[in-house]
Amino acid sequence: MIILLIVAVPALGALLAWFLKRQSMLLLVGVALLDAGLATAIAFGVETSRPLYLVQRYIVLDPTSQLFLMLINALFLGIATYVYARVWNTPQLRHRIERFVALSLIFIAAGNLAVLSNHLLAMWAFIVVTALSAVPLIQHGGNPKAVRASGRYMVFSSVGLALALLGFACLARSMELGPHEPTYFLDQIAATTSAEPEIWRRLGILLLFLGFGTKLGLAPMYAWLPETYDAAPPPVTALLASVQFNVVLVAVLRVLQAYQATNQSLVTFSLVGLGVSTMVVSSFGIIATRNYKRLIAYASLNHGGVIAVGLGIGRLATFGVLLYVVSNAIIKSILFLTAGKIRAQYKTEDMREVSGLIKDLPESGMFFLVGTFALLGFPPFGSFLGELIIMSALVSGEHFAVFVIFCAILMITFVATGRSVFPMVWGTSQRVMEIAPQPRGAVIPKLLFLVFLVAMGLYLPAPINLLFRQVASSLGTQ
Amino acid sequence: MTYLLIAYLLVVLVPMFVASWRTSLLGLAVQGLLLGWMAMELTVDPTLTPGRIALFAELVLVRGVFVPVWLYRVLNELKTPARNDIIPANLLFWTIVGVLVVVSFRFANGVFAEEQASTHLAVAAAALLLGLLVLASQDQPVSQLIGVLRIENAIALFELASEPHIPLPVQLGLVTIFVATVLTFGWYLRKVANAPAEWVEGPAL
Repeated sequence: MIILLIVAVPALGALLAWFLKRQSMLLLVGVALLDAGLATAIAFGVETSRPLYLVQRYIVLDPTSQLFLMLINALFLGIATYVYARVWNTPQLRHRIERFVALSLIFIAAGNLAVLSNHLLAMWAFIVVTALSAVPLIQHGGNPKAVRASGRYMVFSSVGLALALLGFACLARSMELGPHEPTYFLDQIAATTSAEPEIWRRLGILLLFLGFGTKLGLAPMYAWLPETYDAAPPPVTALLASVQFNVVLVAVLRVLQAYQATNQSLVTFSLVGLGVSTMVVSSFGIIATRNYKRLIAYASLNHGGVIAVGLGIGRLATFGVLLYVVSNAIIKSILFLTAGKIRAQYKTEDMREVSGLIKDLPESGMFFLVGTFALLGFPPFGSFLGELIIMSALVSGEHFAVFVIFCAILMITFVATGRSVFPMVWGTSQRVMEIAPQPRGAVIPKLLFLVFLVAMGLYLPAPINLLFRQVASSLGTQ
Repeated sequence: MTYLLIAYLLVVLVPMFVASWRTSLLGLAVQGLLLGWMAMELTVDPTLTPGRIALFAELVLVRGVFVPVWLYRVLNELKTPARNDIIPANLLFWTIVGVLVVVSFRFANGVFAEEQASTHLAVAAAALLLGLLVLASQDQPVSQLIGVLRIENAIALFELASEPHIPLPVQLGLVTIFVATVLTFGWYLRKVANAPAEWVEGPAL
């Protein structure tokens, strides 16, 4: 029952928000708080040494859903608190806020359902719902640039998800050729697959990676991501980059859980290929851009590439990938929410026009600086440990060529990001500005994210560590 | 069945050479109706199960009637200019269209020896590739929407070759989401058409 509440509460909240009008902001924070509490209780209070099935096996609770429910709901709480503080302190932002709240709650309800789904097509459908509810969220505020970006987002989402749907159809065709009844239930799929090379299964897996890869911003269909992340309001960008990214990643993990053991070479070939090509294009973007929101967006692309490479290698890298995924989600939330404050203060997104951030806006400067260090994979952050594990898995798996490309791209990214960001933070202040104080409510979530980010690199509490290990072992860690 | 597949291929091809959104919508409508017809032809067991009714309703009523009619009303209301290229009107793109169709048939011949299965796969693959070509070559919202719907129909055609095995609740959910996607696209078209020419930036979230 408690498991279903995590979906029912935001779904009911979305309905209520339309009636509460401006008071809906409180509802948003209340629901987010309740959901984060429920997700934590589910993660640590429900024993899942064997997966727990509900609602005629459509819902599954296992370590993967436990970890990602906790992650996305914690991030959603942080983003909701930030939005509440911004709207509370800026009355102009209250216009049509009930619509924003309702759509955000539909977004998280669908995200939770996708994470909990044991049926691949149902999971796909819930991911589409998150995409559909995100379209008006991207446009919130009515900026024509955001309207255009939402259109691009919608087209790419539709095509990516259509390719994933085609992938499912190919997998069904493959199952028809074997002795088993075709099924989309995750717990039954593994029994229907074999190690024999078979065109429909191989095509299906490739299309799934390509389709879901589009939603993760992997090359070749990544073009929507920098534009959308740049144009959308910062909390919406954080929702897309941190929450939706991880919901889609769960879908990829589910496919891997079902097919990786019998199709390792295909998985490695396709995911490493997508990952490395994404890292290459993102490094060009990082070098070329002069817009700090786009810079973070390209860095997100780069991180998506690292995650794809790690998942493709599998085995030892899996634990590192999970550490990296969680760190990455937190880093993106911190950076995009901070970018919103910088944009509001400097009225520009051009890095050359922002200088002396640490003096002008000490809190935002600190968050931006620390977030950038985490982004670049400095110790003591979890991203450092994650990258280190992935690189050691590349060497121990004798993927030397990938290792060399991986290191070269990380170095290019490191230099290009530092070259752009450090003058922004430490440069001389160029303007005399009236500094608007930052509401506590907007700072606290970022501070908590930061604490967790550092903690992940230094010490993982035993229950969280166990959850990571369980998810890694479900992906075939040796 | 083969004549229906050839008809489908023609309905996919003809609007690519006619630069009009009305022709494109008509093409989508005929695609939906042909999909419904093919679903009937492929039905071995004539019993009308709820799943089968949902499938016919989706193909004929949603894809064949609702989507084109609703989009026609939106585009008409927005006074969209009659001319609308879905691929650039030049010899290069017309050649690419031809090449994609040939490649699809070659691919299908390699996969299936049986003629009908091969033609089915070839037409679905050609429809999918041509939908992707529309998306790759156009950046106008109307053309992109048509490209996306062409891809959706191509996938529906591909799925017809398999035995239906999706549980009814999931099938209904998928239809609802397809309708919601089209409605969101329509809403987006209105939003783009009514976007202010000048934008005064205020505080943002």
